Formats: sequence, structure tokens, C-alpha cells
Amino acid sequence: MRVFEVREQFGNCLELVSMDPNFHNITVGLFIKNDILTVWSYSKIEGVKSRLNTIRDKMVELGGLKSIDKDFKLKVPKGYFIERPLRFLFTQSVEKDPGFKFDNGPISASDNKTRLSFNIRGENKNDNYVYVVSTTGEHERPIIRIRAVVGGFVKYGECIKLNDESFCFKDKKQHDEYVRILLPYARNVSAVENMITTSEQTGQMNTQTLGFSQ
Amino acid sequence: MKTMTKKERVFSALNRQEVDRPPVANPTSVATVEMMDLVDAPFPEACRSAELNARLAATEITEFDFDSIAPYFSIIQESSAIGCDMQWEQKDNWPTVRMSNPIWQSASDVKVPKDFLEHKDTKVIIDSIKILRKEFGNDIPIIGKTMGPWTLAYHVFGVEKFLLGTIDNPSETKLALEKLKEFTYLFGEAQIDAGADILTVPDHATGDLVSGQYYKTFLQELHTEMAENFKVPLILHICGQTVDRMPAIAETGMHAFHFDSKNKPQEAMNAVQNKIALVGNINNPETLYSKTTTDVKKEVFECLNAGVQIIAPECAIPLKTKSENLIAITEGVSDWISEHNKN
Repeated sequence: MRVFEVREQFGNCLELVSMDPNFHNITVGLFIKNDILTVWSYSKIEGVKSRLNTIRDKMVELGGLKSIDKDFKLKVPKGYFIERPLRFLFTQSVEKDPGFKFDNGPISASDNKTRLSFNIRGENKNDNYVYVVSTTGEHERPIIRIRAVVGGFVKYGECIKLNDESFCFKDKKQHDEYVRILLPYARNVSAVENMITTSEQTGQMNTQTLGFSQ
Repeated sequence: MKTMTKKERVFSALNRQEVDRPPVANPTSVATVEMMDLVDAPFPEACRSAELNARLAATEITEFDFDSIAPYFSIIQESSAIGCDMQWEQKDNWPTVRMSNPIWQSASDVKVPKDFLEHKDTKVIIDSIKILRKEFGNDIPIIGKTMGPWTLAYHVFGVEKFLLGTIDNPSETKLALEKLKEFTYLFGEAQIDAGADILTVPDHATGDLVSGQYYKTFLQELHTEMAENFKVPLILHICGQTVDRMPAIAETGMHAFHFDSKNKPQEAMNAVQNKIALVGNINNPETLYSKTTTDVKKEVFECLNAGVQIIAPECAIPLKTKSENLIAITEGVSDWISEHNKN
């Protein structure tokens, strides 16, 4: 397909992964038109169609999206279009080992700055699905780390902070899949920001990347 | 006004004459990772094989309908042929010179290798231009690129050493630039012989590193001489803040200056006083890379309202630029014309 056809049929590109480590370093994009997402690559390497469908299926599996009966396509259920988590979901679906799965149990992750572990529990309160962050393990003031994680969800999940320990999504609905995806990013915003900056600098040509200025 | 060919349009704009519509032409590069997949010509191979290079360069016309083709994507082809220590990188990053490991120490070391134009990494551009000329005929302008002596000096001497030399021993610096310019001429003329209609001369005397006075002291005369000697129009490219040296650049006789988004279009137009055409200056790292088509079009409008003659990204576009934002440049020009005609 030509560029103009992709734009006409699939819409705008939400995210681009420049090199798929699991399939010949092809470039894979996530496109959106209305509420239909399309996983697409311009590559014509043999097997690419199967690979794109695998990525699509991984997004459905990890992100709670709906596959539709067409190659490379999936549907965003009402309330699930939250751009940043969708982009993280896509990147993970391309870059993680195809056999990767989330644990189905409680949502938790270890803190990579302390010996704490974060636990996130959700509950319905007056038609608002509230996520509460708690910790296990020893630390003098765990609330500092909890507050940072809530801040991470506000930054990367477009969530609303309710207090130092809890947040909800903008549509006030349950989005456990997004919480699982976002927790590894939300627990360490500064490292994630560095990672994003490095990624954004790759492939840019300017006086810094050329080594012509400090 | 009758519809112009792409070549007529770009040449008229370079001569600051009337055009049927302002051209979109990037004098540096329009390579992206998506297009590498489309035509199966990934980096770094597309910088080292003429056939792949031409295939990738052609997408500027076939997919984005720009008004020119520029097949030299990076800034390192000559330096590789000279013998610099290279880092070729991979698909999603630019090949670079390891300037921390310079090959020469002083002007006396500067010598043109016997096989400079036969080296794989210079020949690739020359051969690519021949392929593109054959494929696209004479109505599409091909923009070649030949590095200026200042940029080459960074590569062969190392940035820090070269810049310190401009203070410690300016006459040695001038001698080095004088000798390095031979590479600029040799590679530029070879590209013209192969079919290039225009040459871009990147010479990174950027505002991030040196003052406008440096430009006058070390480069203005060399650039003036190039404008007199080359038989095709020249487009000078310098990244970063350059508005303080634009009046001097405008006096060189070069046809155009490709300028960075760190300079406002209107202030740039005021600085050059219609003595040289301007090409630019859509922001790369933020607008083209991560903003929306609406943001891209807004910058196109800003350039056109200021009177910028050729619309282009400010430099070689980020390799991960989304295609829709490149299409938006051409669409932005069309939208501006429609709005302009209405008023």
C-alpha cells in the first residue's frame, strides 16, 4: 500500500516502533481511524501479515481491546481510548517476547528504588472505580513512594489523583489492563522520562546528535 | 499562471522569482524508517548502495509529492572516503563520524586520497544521482550535497581541537579550510556531472558553537568563491541560531540559505533583505516528530506568510517521522494558497 492509501484507510499514526526485535527489525505503526485501530507495516517481508496479527492479538490479550474479524484490526471499547497507555500497550506488544503474559493475580510490582513492593487494588465507590496504591515491605516513609506512583498514573494514564494514595481514570471506569501496563512506568517516572528522551533523540539530526555542540 | 514543472518551480523560487505555488523541497534528507520498509532500503545499507539509495530517495517524490529529490541522506559520505573512523549505526539512527578519534592533526595532513571519488561511499551518491536522473528525467530537480570545509574540519580534526585552533592559530585554520575545500569542489562537481541540478553545502558554523563574526572571518569568502565557481545554484545549510550571520550569508551570492527553526521566519526574512532565497524551517524534533498535522500546517503558514521561498523541514528529518506529517507540509501549502486566493 502507498502512503496516501494507508492514511485514507487506517487514519493517523498513534505510535511507531522503528525496529521490531521479534521480526526482522521491521517498522510497525499503530493507526487509528474513528474507533478502529490498525497494526501496520510497509514491509513486504514474507510472514509480515502473520506477525502483524500476532501483535494485534497481543494487544487484545494484554490490553482488553476487541479483535475484529479483519487482518491487523482491533476495536477500542468505549472509554478505552486513552492515548498514552494505548501507546505503551502497542510498544510492549511489539517489543516483548511473543510468549510474554501478565500474571492474572493481584496487580503488584516491586519498587526499583527501595525494597518496597507496590500493590494496587480497585473498588467501586459511588459509581467511581477507585484504584488504591499500598506497599508491603520496609521503608521509613512509604507514602513518599506511593505518592510518586500515583503521580506516575496521572502522567502516563491521564488519571485523576483523588488523594496521595488513590486515583481513578477519566471515565471513572475499571481499566485493570491499563493499570498493569502502566505500573512499571508509573513507579519510576524519571527513568522512564530518560528512556523516552533517549528514544526521541535516536534518528534526529541536529547539532547535538551530530556532536557539533554540547 | 501556467502550471510549472517541479524543476521550473524550484529554480524560480531559488531565483526569488514568481512561482505557480511555493515549492516543498528539502535540501537535506527525507528518509524515514517507514519508507525504508516500503522500498526495502534500510539504513545503513541505503547510504552505501546506489540502488538502495536511489530507491529510498525517490519516495520523496513518489510518496510525498515534494518538488525535489535529495539522495545524500547523511553528512558523512566524504569523511568515510577520506578515512575517518565511522559508526554506521542501524536502521533507526544516522551514521556518524567518531570525532573523538580524529585522523588528522594539522593543515599539512590534509591530502585528497587518490581514490576519493572512486571510494564506495562517495561513488554511491554519484551513481544514485545517475539512476535518479534516468528514472525521473529532466523535470524533477535533483539536489546533490557536498560538505563544506568547516564541517569536514570537525570530522577530520575533531570539534574541540578544530575550534581551539581558530583561537590559537587562525592562519593555520584558514589554511586547513582552504585545503579542505578541495573535497567540496571535487565531490560537488562529480555530482553535477552525474546530473545534480542544485547542490546543498552544509557547513556547520552554527550559532551553538561560534559567533557570526567567525562566519565572516573564516567562511564568507570561501562561500562567495564557491557561489562563483560552481555552475549550479547552491543552497547553504547551517543548523542552529544563525540570524546574526544571515546578512553575511546573503552577500555570498549563493542562491539560498536553508535555516533552522531556532530562527523565526520573519526575522530571517528581515535579516537577508531579499538578497538570497530562504528554505525552511519546519521544526523537526518537536513538530514533525511528535506533533499533529495541524501543528505542521501552522508552521507552513508562518513561513509562507513571512515570504519564505521554499518550504522544507529545517534539516534532515527525524528517521521516525510519521508519514502524515510529511504529507501535511504539502497540504499546508495548498491550504495556504486556497486561503490566500479567497482573500
